[in-house]
Amino acid sequence: MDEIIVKLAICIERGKTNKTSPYPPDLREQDGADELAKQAIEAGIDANRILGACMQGMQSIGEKFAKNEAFVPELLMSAKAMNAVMVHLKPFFQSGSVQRKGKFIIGTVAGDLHDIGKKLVSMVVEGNGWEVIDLGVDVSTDKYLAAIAQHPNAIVGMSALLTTTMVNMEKSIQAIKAKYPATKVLVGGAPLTQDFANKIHADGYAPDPQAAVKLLNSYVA
Amino acid sequence: MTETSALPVEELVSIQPLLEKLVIDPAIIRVGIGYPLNHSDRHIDDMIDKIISESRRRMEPASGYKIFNDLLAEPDYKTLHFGGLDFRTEKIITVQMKKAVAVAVFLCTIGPGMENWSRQLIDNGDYLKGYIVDAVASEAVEQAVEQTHNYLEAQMRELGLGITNRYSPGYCNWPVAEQHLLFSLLPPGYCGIRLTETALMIPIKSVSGIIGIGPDVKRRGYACNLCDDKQCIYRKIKT
Ligand code: B12
Repeated sequence: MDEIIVKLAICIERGKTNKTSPYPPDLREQDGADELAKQAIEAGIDANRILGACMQGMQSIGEKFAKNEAFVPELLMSAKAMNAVMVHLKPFFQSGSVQRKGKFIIGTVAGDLHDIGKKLVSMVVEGNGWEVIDLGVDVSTDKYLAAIAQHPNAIVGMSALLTTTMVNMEKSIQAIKAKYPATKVLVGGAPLTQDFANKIHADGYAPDPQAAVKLLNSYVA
Repeated sequence: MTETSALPVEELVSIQPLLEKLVIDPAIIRVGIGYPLNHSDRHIDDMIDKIISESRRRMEPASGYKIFNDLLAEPDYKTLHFGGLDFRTEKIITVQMKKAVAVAVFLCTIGPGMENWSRQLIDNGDYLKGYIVDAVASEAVEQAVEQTHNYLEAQMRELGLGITNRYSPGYCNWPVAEQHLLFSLLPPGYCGIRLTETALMIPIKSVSGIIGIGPDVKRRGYACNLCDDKQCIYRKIKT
């Protein structure tokens, strides 16, 4: 029983999604996160332990990323393996027997349609045990406000590609803070800097998905 | 001056960059997706190669330019005047253009095919492949711009004129909002590119800019030292 859990953590860290996935080459033909999660549930292993194993795998890859031993592609592969497990855990999340770390509402700001950066962040954050509510692109302040009303304890993330749309973050943050002073807002995207984030009173800035996870985790620690 | 009098002034010159000349270097893609220089992983390298070869049929490159011969750099080197308009190009770019006597305003795109493909892959859970497709698309449009630049260079050489490097709104302190002014010099929807109110070009994989023309200007290698973007992937590759 413990063997499944250990293997699962390894599959998450190495980004081995399922048996047929060719990556990583040294795990070819072996069961992946998908099969192992299913086996674990069938063996009656507590869903919390399954999730815990996954979190351990995600943490290991995150640590490697911080040490420049792994890069965004590896984070994405781990996130993909993780999402295969999430499918099996869904009933447990729904029944409330397993809890996620929190909710993260993310969107590309008003006037902006660039979505790949935001999607990459979503994937990795989700893989790290967060529930992600993706509002899409060209997200107006009202849309952020409505989402916060629906998910009161969520943390908000905003993405922008150009300096012309980056300025819309400031307006949205002001409106959010006026109505929900306790709501934390993270910002990111190619033209962003920590300085700009400070200037517009964002709670945090992250240049890459792993840094975003670190910030988010620090808010619930 | 006879050379400049032969310039095709205020005429649209449309070009179709050649797919077979969009040579994409896998090393640039590796850096583009976040790997350090010289990092190599067979699985990733295979994926990149496959995507590069499959990408050709997803691209519809289009580009073109229009030349204006009323170019003037203001003495404070903050403003460039051309096409009857004033542009806040700021110091770095204005200084590079001061010896030019005319300017080509260009647009270039590879069309929406690659970004749609990338989005589809990501929506189907194939994050890494979608990410690589996005990076290949970014490099492809750069290559298409390079072809356009080379084409203009060859045309101008025949007239005995030189050209400068290319400069884009949003770089080197030239406000990206001035895309609106620049686009006003070209027909609406030129090359299939639309500009949103917030100055974003659709398709995303598009580039706009200017290139100086004159008997006393020179095109130099990619000049990262002029720009101040410390995070840019091109700086990582070129320096
Ligand atoms: C590749 C590139 C291009 C490509 C592709 C563009 C694209 N985005 O698809 C091409 C060549 C087409 C291009 C064109 C232009 N570009 Co360009 N480009 C870049 C470059 C080098 C990388 C951007 C990129 O695609 N990164 C990959 C993606 C996946 O990363 P990302 O979206 O940034 O997301 C990551 C992080 O930012 C973060 N993140 C993102 N969102 C969020 C949200 C949260 C909450 C958090 C925590 C984190 C986070 O995590 C993501 C994953 O790692 C940047 C410089 C740079 N180093 O970033 C300039 C840059 C974005 N470009 C710039 C400019 C100016 C332009 C043009 C306007 C130039 C022109 N006049 O033609 C055009 C605009 C195109 C358009 N459609 O309007 C400027 C924008 C700043 C500004 N002045 O507005 C930049 C920042 C360069 C600079 N320093 O000046 N560009």
